[in-house]
Parts: sequence; structure tokens; C-alpha cells
Amino acid sequence: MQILYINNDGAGFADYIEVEPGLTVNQFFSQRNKGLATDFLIRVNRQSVAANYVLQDGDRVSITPTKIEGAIKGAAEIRSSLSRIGGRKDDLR
Amino acid sequence: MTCVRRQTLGFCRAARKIHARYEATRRMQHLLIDASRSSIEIARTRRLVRVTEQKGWKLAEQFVRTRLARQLHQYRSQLDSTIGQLETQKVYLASEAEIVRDLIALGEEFEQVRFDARDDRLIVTTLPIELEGTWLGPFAVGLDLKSLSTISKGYYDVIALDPCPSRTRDDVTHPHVQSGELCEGEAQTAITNALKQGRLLDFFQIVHGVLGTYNSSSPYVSLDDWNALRCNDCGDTHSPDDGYICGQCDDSICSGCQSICTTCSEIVCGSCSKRCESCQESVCEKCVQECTDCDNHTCNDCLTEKRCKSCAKETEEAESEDESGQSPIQQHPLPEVHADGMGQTAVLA
Repeated sequence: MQILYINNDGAGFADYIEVEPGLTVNQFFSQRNKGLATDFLIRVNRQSVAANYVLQDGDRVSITPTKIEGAIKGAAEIRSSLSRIGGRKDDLR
Repeated sequence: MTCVRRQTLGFCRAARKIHARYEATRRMQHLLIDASRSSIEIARTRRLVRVTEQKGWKLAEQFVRTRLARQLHQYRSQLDSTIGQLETQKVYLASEAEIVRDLIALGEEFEQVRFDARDDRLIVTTLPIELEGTWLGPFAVGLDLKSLSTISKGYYDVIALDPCPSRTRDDVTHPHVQSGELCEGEAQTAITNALKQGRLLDFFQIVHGVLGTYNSSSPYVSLDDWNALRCNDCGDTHSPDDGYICGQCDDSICSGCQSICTTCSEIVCGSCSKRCESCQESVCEKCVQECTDCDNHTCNDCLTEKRCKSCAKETEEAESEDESGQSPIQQHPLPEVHADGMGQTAVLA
């Protein structure tokens, strides 16, 4: 069956994907994310659901981190460059 | 008509307008693709370059080469933009019904959702935000729908409704908000993609996620310094408990820059503090005057008839000279000295 999966972690994307019937939200989250479920807003059809909710064909599942780090403009780019060249996050201070 | 029904109708009207904006954006993409017809112009300019090369028209060749370079630059940026827009929208683009559902969900998740039809703005109000014990208050996130087609700088703003800015910078109402602009950090791409795909609920949820998170490694003003005061003398920050207020100008100063007037014991900043040229003590502006003779700063203790110590002494000596009618030298004559040869003339024999 097909669901619309919206992952707002990282780059953020929305795509229709195939999942096996009978899959619960909790199982789906575990398959797709490494973090703790408590750190994310998990919505099915824009509503909060129980962890054992069984996904239905055509469901819209969105996973949004509750904690997203903002930064001064350019700092994120510098940080990623630093990590590429082996620098540390603290070097930015 | 019930309040909920009226609100839903309002959301439907707003969604229709928002969706129309997205449709306009989509049409603009077609225009961009059509604009790739500029490749025909490029081919024409390339022919001109070849002709000028063959004819040996150096000046004309230089001119058309410059034009070709400009056209190629424009063409490349058009293609990049079109490819980017097509790639992000090929997977998903919210329908009008999806936008209605997003607006209804926003109304359930956030304190207030309002569509300003006149200014084409969707405004969502958050609950009050508190980060690590620092109260920042509620924020209004306003999405400018007119800017949806470009998704460029300034397409949304984040305004503090009950501003509690940092003490050192009035324009910083949140560690990651300056002058109403959110510095998105890790959320930048997710925010852009959510908006490009018309996922308004996701957009506001992500922005709210950034507002509810403190990144201590990259704030405009750190929460540690949020309530700190800036010393007007040295520019460093200090806690309110470790600072002073200048008794003359009311500026905030740190303990390292404060000085105490030796005459009246008032605490003053560097600008309001003077050094007495006579005793070298620090005094406030109230307790210092300029010597009427030499203009040197002199504290009240060192002033004698509005003169500093050295000028007063000179005046005193001059006055005593006047009284005796003789100069101090004449009063104490030096012993006579006769130089050799002085007053003598050589006489020829």
C-alpha cells in the first residue's frame, strides 16, 4: 500500500512510498528514524495518533523534529565546512 | 452560523488564494522553461562572434564576446532555477484541499491563525516561548504569500508579540531572531522545501521547532548574556549585579571602568570622570573646574581663587613682588661677578 511520507528532519522531503500492510506508526518510525520518538512530532493525517495505530493506504505521515537548531547566517555552512576539514564545532566560538 | 463553520469557510477562502499563488508560481516555471528560448539568441550571438573573427573586426568581436558571456550567464542561472523548482515540485505539491486541511490543523496546533487577505499574509501565533529559564514571550510568524514565487529573503518574518529583547541589543528578540528575521540554521532546507511544496503546516511546525530550541554555539546573543548589561566604557557585558550606573549620565558601567570621585564620592563613568592635574586624583565633572590661567582640570580641593596650585603659587609670587616694588631677584641680590676682560679695550702701543 502507498502512503505520503513527509520527513522534516534534515533537508525535508515529501514522497509517496510503499509500506507493507499492518505496519504501525511506531514500527514505521523505527524503520525510518534513529532518534527517540519523543524528540519528534509524529502526525498521521495531521493528527496525533497512538503508537500502535496501523497505517492505512493513502495516509499522510509527517515526522518533524521538535528541536531544530537555528544559527547565525553562514554559521551552518562554516560548521559543515569545518567538519569536512576536521575542525571542531567549538572552533566557531 | 457557528464560529467553527465561519472559521472553516475563512480557511477555504484563504486556501483558494494561497493555492492560486502556487499555481501562479507553477505558471512562472513554464515561463522560465519558455525563456530557455534565449538559447536561440545565444546561437545568434555565437554566429556574430564567428563572423567578426573571420572579418578581423577586433572591436566588434570583443563587443559580441562580452554579450555572449552575459547571455550564457543568464541562461545558466535560468536553467539552474528551473531545474531546482522542477526537482522540488515533481514529488509533491499541495492541492487546495490539502492547504485547507493544513490551515485547520494549524488552528488546532497553534494559539491563533489569521489570514490577512489585504496584505496576502498568513500569520500564525505561537504560545509563549521560554528557553532555559529565559522568558521570550509569544511570536507571530507571518508568511508573505506574495513572495512565494521566489522563496527569497524576507518571505516570512518572526515578530515578538510581547518583546523581551536582550538588554544589549533591542533588535534581538530571540537568540536566533534579529530584526524579525529567523536564522534557520539546520532547518533552512526543510523550511524552503516545505514552502515550495505548499506544506504550510510543516513550515510553521519547523519554524516553531527552531524557536523552541536554543543553539548555544551560534546565537546572536547568548542566553547567558540575555539580561547582561553592556559597559558603555569598555563595551564588555556584565551582569546587573556586577555593574554600576554613572551618577552623572546614567550610563551602565562595569566594575572595572567605574571610578569614585574623591571629592563627593559619587560613582562615575570614564566620560564623566576627570583627573585633577594638581593632585592627580579622579573626580567627577561636578567637582572639577578649569584653572582660569592654564585651563588645566583642577578639583575643588586644589583650587585657590579659581586657579590650580601652580598658577596660584605664581600669582602669589607676582603679587608679593608688586607689593615690595622689586623683583624677587632684586630682593635677594646675587653676588657681583666681574668677567675677565669685560669693559676693557686693547690699546695699541
